[in-house]
Amino acid sequence: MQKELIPILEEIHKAFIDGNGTAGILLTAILANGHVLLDDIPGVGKTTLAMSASRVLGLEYRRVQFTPDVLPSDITGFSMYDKQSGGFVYMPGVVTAANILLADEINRTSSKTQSALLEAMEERQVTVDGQTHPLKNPFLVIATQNRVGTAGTQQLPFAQLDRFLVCLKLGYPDFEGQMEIIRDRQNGNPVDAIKQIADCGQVLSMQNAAQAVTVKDSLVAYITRLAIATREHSDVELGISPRGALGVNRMAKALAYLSGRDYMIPGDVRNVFLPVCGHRILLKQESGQTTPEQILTEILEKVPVPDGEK
Amino acid sequence: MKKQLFRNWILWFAWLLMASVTHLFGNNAATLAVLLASVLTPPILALPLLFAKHAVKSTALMTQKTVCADETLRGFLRIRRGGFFPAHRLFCVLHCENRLTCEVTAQRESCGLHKNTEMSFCVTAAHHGQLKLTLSTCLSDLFGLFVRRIPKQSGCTVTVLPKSLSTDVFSQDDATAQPENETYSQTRPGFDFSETYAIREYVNGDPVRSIHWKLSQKTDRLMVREYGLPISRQSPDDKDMVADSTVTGLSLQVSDSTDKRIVHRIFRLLLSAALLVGIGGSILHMTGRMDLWWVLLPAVYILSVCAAFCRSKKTALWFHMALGAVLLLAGVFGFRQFADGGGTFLNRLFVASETRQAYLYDRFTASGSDSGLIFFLLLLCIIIAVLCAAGVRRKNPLFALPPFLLLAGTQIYLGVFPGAGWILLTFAAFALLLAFVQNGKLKPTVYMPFLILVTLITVVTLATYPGANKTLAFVSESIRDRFDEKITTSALETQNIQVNPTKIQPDNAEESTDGADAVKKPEGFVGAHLGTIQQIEALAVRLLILFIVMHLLVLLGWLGHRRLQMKKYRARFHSPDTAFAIKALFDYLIAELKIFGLITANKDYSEYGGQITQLLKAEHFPDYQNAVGLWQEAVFSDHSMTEQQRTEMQNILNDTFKKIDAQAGVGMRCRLMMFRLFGKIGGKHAKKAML
Repeated sequence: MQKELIPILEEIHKAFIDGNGTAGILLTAILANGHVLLDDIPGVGKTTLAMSASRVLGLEYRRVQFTPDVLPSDITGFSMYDKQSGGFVYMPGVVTAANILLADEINRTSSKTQSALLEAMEERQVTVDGQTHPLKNPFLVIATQNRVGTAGTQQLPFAQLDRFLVCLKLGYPDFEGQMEIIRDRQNGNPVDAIKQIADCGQVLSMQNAAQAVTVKDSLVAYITRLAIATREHSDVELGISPRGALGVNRMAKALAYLSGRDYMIPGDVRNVFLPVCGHRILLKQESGQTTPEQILTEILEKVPVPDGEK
Repeated sequence: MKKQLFRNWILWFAWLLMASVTHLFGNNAATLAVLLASVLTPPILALPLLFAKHAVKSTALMTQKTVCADETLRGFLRIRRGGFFPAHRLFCVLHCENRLTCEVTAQRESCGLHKNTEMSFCVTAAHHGQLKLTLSTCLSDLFGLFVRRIPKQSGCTVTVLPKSLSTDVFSQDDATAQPENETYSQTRPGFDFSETYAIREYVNGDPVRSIHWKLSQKTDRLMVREYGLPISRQSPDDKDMVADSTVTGLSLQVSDSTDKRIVHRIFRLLLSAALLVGIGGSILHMTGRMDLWWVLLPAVYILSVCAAFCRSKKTALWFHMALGAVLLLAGVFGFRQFADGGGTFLNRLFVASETRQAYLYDRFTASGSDSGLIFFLLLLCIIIAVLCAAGVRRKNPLFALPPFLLLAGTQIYLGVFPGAGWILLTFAAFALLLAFVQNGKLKPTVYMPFLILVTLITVVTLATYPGANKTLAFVSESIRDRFDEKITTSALETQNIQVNPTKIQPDNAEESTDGADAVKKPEGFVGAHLGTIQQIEALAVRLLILFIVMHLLVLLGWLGHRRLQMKKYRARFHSPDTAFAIKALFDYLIAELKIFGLITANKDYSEYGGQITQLLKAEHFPDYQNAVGLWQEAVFSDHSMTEQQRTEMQNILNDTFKKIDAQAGVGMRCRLMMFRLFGKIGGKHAKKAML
């Protein structure tokens, strides 16, 4: 474990009781400079996790509650006529000020508002009235959505799903975890008590360090083989895109950095493969009850792990 | 089932025939015992069936009570065996009757009978109705010769519902649902307005909504636009129409693991090879071309081993055919000697058996201990063959036994008792090993010492058996004679006389091939024949020794090669390239752990935690993790490794070996020792180092 990251994770764990290492993956995704989709039922701590992560890292945090009447201009900003100057003035939207943007219940808004996020997420800039405004660095979107009560929702199109680096499922806490959550919240919300450990500059330098992790050719081949295996699987309609394979590489590098190594090992790739690729796979209708997770696990079992040779 | 029974009966009769022929020739207690055993064993073994049939209960269970048409329904056959009496196999016929359409299909299956057996099967029905599954079962004995019907067992019913489109196709989340369907029906209009099927003029009865008003304005007529029909969202009626043209009926599949089949195949191969050897041996003996038999044996041995070892079914078949051809050729070659047909052949047969008796009598009185040894060896052969058969429980394993007995019979009849016995032993042991090796249960490090041991014992026995002095003297004499023959171009008769100077043999060897002469002059024939037998025996022993020595030499050469490779491998532990040395050390560790029971599949080495803690103790796990960490650093990082890390790795390796040694039993220690001496380490490092 990288030394400077231990206190950060500890601080997040003060507010968010983590059953299956989700906080670690979120932190990894932040180091990999990728967007995160938290996909789960209401009330399992999606917002708590996002908020505590942004506070610990000392990043500027903005939250948009997506409702059906949120408009694209609320996200990207808009130009308004200014009487005094007699010209148009750009009124920044919510993305301009944020390092971490929490897009809550992203599937509750109209598809055009969802699309307004596309450019911001991919190019990290917004264009309004032909003028391009760069966003803050780092810029991350942590979106949440829940699958329960889908009436009146707009599902994210695949083009946008593909732009999220990881899709995380939190799941219910276990018995001990649930007890701890209730105990912690007897005197106020622990999220308020979270201290800032790092700042924006540190996060950027950590991201650069994660980018510099060594990747041997055998591992590049391994990632490629995994991606091709998803494309050739008989139950899969759409496999992992090249962007998805890049995402696996980025996440694995960040995980290697998080584990305190300056080189990537096959274990990194295997650990991030499911969270990165779970939402990028589209199954054929004939596949029946199989889930993408089952297929990915099967592929991990099947594709030979490199033993260090080229 | 009937086919199988028939085959078994035929095999049994063939075996009985062989046994009686052997007895006819041998006419001693051993062959009689073999004959009696083969006649009596199957009926005796079938007796318990009478009592076992009440103790077996079989039921067919379905996982669901209802199923849609064309969907696969899984079911289980659950067979429970109680009671004391053994029954070997169970045959079941599963009848499936559709009460609505009156279709009846049956599926036959058989399985070995254990205390609790479960077989799964799948049922797919093309039409709706009620399926009634009834199960009728029979038990069979160990040899598969007798069957016994079990009183009717309970079945079950399954209701097959008509095909319906499940509603959740439409209510699924779009995130997991499909993108727009690309294929539309070419023949029918549908409901999907994103695609146009056709535009036509309005006819009475069309809904007003379907009128295309813009087109109607342009054309001045009322036009109607029909929508497309996506194929995968067809209504249930469409699917039914398609299904009606191809009646799939009902299909049943019973799962069976493939590795069982492989071993079964090997056994079949060995069995038929042994049978061929037996038959070929008898034919050759009857025809008097015993020298051919000794050429034949190694050829058959090699071919059957090749057939058993080769991967694909096709090549196995070729090897098998070659085997058959060799034996057939030998048989034809032998029979060519009887130009006058069967009459002389039969005469000769009886005379030969008389000669045999006289010769054997002579032999036994000369060295009295031989007969005890024969019986001991025969018993050993039988025990090994039974073990061989019982060790790998296959469809009818005991059918591997007759060929071995048959071999024993013919070999003993040939008169080279200890040598023949040991050949049999090696053959049986080899078959046993083969079965296990093919099954993936044994590694070369286990069976190599065993093989060497058996071969060594064979040579020692051959060299020390009572008749050996005589035979060896004879061999050396005949070799010397060969030399003399080359130099002096002496005739065959003189050689014969020289070979057997103590015995009075006035007749020459050529006369022995002439059957008619032999009948006329039996005394002379016996004498001549005795000489031939001794000659043949000498040739046989020579060939045998040559064969075994070759075998041993190949083995030794192979082991030497291995040892050299291992030495080269170990030299790498001290190579100046630290990362390379660490890789080699780690490979060695994993190879040793594999011998100790680590099963490596497609996994990262760090993921074997649970298995490692099972192999070693939990407190050794950190050591292993350290080793994996070091290896990963050596392989996947760019920076070079330090000398300290190499020593650390070496320490971990030594510690782990100590722990393994402390835990290992005697057998495991032998295996580890074998590995450390001759072991082979896979992976590409080895090849790289060789270059």
